[in-house]
Amino acid sequence: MNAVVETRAPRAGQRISAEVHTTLVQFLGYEARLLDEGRFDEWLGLLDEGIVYEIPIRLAVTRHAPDQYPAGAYRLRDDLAMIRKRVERTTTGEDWSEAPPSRTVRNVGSIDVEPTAQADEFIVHSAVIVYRERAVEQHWDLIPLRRTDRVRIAAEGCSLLTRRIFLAETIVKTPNLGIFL
Amino acid sequence: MDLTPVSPASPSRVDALVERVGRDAPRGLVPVDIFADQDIFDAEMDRIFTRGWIFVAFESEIPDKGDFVQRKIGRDAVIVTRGSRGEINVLANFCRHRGSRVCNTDQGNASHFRCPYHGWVFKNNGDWIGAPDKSIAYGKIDQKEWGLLKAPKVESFLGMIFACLDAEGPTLAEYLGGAAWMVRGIMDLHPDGMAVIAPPDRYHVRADWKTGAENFAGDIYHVSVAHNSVSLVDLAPSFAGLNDLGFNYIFENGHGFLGHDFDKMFGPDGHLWYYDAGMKARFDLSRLDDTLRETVEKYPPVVGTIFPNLSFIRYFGEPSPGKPPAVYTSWRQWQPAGPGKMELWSWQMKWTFQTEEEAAASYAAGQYGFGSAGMFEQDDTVVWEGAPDAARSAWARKEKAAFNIQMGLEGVGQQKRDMDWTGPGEVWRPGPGEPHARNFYAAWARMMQGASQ
Repeated sequence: MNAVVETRAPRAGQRISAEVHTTLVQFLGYEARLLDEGRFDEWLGLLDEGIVYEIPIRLAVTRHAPDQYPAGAYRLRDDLAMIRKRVERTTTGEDWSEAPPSRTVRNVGSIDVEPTAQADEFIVHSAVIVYRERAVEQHWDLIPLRRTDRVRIAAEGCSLLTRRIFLAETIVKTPNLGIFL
Repeated sequence: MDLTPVSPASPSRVDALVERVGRDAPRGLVPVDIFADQDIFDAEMDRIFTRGWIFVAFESEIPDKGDFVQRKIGRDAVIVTRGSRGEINVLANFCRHRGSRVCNTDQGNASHFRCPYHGWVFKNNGDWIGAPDKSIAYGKIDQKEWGLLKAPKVESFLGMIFACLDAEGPTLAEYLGGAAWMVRGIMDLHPDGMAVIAPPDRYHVRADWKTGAENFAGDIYHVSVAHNSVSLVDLAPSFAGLNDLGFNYIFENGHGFLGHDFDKMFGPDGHLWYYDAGMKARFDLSRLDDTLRETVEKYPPVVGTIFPNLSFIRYFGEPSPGKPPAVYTSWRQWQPAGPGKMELWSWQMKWTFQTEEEAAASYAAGQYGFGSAGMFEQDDTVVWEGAPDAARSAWARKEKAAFNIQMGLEGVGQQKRDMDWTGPGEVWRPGPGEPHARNFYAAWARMMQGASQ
């Protein structure tokens, strides 16, 4: 069966096959589980060599102001080498911000897929709620965010090409962004 | 766990505690009580944040007429504006009619602010300029009386804007004292100065504002423990031996800076914070006196605190592993958010003369190290959570427990005051030592006892 998932008011070229949709939903679900289970080496395997992983700075501004995300302003903007160092840090036994590791549960939803000019690459928008329980008894850190990912589907599996993370908060409540989002 | 402090409110309890801090800080003790106490916190707002000189913004954040940013003085929301004559105003962000916020964005450009409740209108210098149906609502109103509260004293120093809410207080230069000299060595290496790269990175930390300020005033001792992971993954040189290479620069009114002996650590290449040759060639060190020039070349301050809650860090790091290191400069503010709670606001800076590419490298290195996901900074944010927990401990109060800030006192460790120092303030060296902490809490106690510094 060649089912089609309507991702928005249908327009020519905007149709995403159910197979693609399922593949991407499965990918994000699998990725979420790897992160929640602290399986960072396996997670690294999902990242493209050229990945850009970014959390822009967000401001409270008027509805029509252009600068809710001021150009070039970020909390974090990592390439693969930087991400690898973050993972390596977790093996030192002295990564105090994550000792013990946070217990996280992330819910990835509201998935909306857009095609790109590349037949095997897709823009995947999602909404994510990360619950983070930190240290011994620091409960109820909630990190709400939206993601815009670019994902490539290949025979050997999906890979993450870019991820932009749009935090709901302008002043983040959790005391550090020491976990992957 | 966030247990509400149990001690009853009473001014005499606050005063007794403050007196204890004033007495004990010089001999190396800080009562644990002051790190999560509502009464102490309220007194800090009244006695320190409405009387000292508080940093509010960089001039480069509001370059044009009408530009504004919303900031904090203690817990008070303030609007920092560039008025129609180019002057800088610091205004309380509440309408004088019923208290609604007249500015509801982090930044913008506006000639005036209109209250969304009943519509009183204020010019961006705070003047009352109108209200709906003015003639039938008020007839004549004393406009001078009803403007936004306006900081009586606002001064700018090397592009950094400070406000003081005490009309009778000292000038900014008097308040900064020798720290102004040191800041010149950091920010005045080129006539065009420094500017912000981006708006601040902001996040809540479950720690007291004093802990961040005290740490950045000169704590070399924590680096090789709290931040060791950064060295273990080869993002920083080994910290072994660092404790032996410290310089504590101590100034009046609680200000303090920590230098590292870059001359011994890295030789001449490492002079001036390890700026590369191209950058060094563009600096004009003739702007500095001889002592300051030698200080920033060989033993540069790498962190520092302007009392009460403004700090800086300048260090070098790789923007991404394997790329050539870049020197970054961050100013950060420990915004008191409640007893044992703060917001950390940090700005990354560039030299105005730098190319976009150079500034981008500094920004990347700075954020990777000291942003909200920073490889260094994230560990600070959790080790600092302990002091408020201790402050909420009934056991600690029962025992009248105090924290130990004795390193460098007579008979405690190797650090001594350098009696040959020719610059302002005092130098204590080598490390490790805690004169910065004794100086910070002694100044805190003096101000809490009514001194305006």
